[in-house]
Amino acid sequence: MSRRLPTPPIPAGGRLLDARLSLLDRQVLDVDGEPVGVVDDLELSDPQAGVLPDDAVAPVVRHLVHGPVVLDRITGGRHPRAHFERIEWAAVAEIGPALRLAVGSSRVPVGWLEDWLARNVVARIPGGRHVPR
Amino acid sequence: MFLGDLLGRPVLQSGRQVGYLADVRLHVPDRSPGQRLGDPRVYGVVVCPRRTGSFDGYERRGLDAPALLARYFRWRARGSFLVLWEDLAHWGEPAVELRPGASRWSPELPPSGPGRGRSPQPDGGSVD
Amino acid sequence: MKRLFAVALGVLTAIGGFLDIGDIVTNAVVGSRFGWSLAWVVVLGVAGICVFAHMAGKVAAVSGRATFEVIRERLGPRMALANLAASFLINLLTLTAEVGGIALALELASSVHYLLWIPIAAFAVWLVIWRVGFDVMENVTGLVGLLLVGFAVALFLLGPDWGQLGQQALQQVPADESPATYWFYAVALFGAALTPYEVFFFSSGAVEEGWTVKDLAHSRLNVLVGFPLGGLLSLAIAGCAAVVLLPRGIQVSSLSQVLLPVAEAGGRLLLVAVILGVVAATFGAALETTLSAGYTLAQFFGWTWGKFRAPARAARFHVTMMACLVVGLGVLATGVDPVMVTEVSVVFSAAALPLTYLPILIVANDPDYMGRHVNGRWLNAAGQAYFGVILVVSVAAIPLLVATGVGR
Repeated sequence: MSRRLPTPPIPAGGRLLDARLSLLDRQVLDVDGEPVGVVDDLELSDPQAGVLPDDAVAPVVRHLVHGPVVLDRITGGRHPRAHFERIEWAAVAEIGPALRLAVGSSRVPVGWLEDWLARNVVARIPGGRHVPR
Repeated sequence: MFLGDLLGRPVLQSGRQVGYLADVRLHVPDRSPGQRLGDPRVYGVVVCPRRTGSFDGYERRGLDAPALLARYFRWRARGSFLVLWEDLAHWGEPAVELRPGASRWSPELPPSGPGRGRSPQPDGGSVD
Repeated sequence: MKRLFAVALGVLTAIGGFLDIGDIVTNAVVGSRFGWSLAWVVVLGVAGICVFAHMAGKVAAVSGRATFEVIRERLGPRMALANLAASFLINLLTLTAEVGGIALALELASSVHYLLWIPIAAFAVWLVIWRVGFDVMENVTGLVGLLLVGFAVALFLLGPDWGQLGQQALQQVPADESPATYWFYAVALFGAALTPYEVFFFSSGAVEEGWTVKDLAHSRLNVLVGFPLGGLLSLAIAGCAAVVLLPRGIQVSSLSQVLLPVAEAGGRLLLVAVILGVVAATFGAALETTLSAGYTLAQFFGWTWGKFRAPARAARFHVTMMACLVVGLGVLATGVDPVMVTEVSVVFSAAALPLTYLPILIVANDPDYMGRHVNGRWLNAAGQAYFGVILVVSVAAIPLLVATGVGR
């Protein structure tokens, strides 16, 4: 029953990690440590989805995806894919308890709701632009 | 393709279901020119016989604390295995399929990567 | 000297901030019906919150990750969302109870009807969140909350028969109460001591204040000294009710009854001090629950959050909190009894506890997050033992609530 399986070959250089354990649902921080979202999903390249030939090239991670896609992961439903905010993998600087980007949050799409609420609700209330002291 | 569409899907081999897709193992190469981290490439898939068997990767990370919970979670994920990309016959929906002669490897992560705890972890380095 | 002051301040605010309307009401109700025979639950609950808060604070200080971020990362989106829904609703219930508590205390102080105080209380809570810095908010409510020491003073002034209180603490179910109500109140007391919002707030507060590994010793002191001393105040509240109300067969159903023993023992001056303490404690807890509503939602979705930012830099966080205060206000405006809301909220807190506790216990053992600060052997032994207790309490909570009709 608990026969030990052999240890798999380890590729030279770089490191191995499991997507669900180390990437999915992690907080994403910009270069200054400001939160920009959560890794709600990962977008992979799909050169050959479907039946794979013997020499099929393995897909790579292209984007971190955030936004309502998380509801799809919960319900199994499908939102139109164009509506999600994507962050290029190339912007990722560090994988840790949070994913740190090499760019500022102004260069990352954050979603319209935050902007809209900030401009039309919060900033209009006196004191909305000041740090509480 | 979105990873979330694949996770939890049934995994087949020779038309028979052998488990569920618990996770996708990625290989992150050392930095390539113009990038801080290389593009993570799919290295293999972690298959667990039970749909919700793999909790928090206790079977993959060499973690043994807290002892009772660790033992319970490892037990729930018993029978998990890793299959490398080369041994996949079908990728994507409705299911991931293994080649008939696919090798089954230990799902444990190698001892130096993240998840195994021996990676150099700066003390509180990421406290905001 | 400055450092000593900071340490003392931390401990004092931990004591003053420990009690909320749930602790005050539940301990008084229990004292008036069971004397000190449920004192062991207070001890169990306080030790539990020490273990829980210590781990959550440690995770936040070392990894920079607050509790609900950890819940999302460890449980995945589906279980985390179920958890969020439960935690958020219970937190809203607690928030409602706390705002009601402020209003009830102000009614006692002013003899203006509490319903008139409710909008003022809610607005004041919002204003503090909007404009006052985190440290000031914590320290002022915590220090004024220390006036609840008046309950301990009252207990001593009453000159109780300590032997009889001790005997109650050792005996079990009083003859005229059913075992089901006894265990219902055991669960309620446990839930009052270990409320999830305390941990959301504590861990998010650690991030707000920018804790690092260097602050671990300080945080441990706050928890291990401050919380048990706060727990002693819980026992004093129950003791006062046991000495004055139990013999007369008065069962606590309002805040004025909670304060009756204080008035009897210490007269007007002590009563005023304790009422002020109740206002500060419930106000502090109303702030904490309101912030927790924002923290949990923002951390689940990865929004910007925190009082160290201008509200416009954390718009969704602030709008969430405003909406929660409005909902709480709406619930209270129906005239529902805040004491009743409180009793229900502590029981639901107990039921939902494993959902927040387990991820923290797991991550406190994860070297990826914690480096060399992972839990030691003894903390894990205690942590797992408490997980067992919490599971049992959680399973028993709702059936007991239904079976006893909220302890009637």
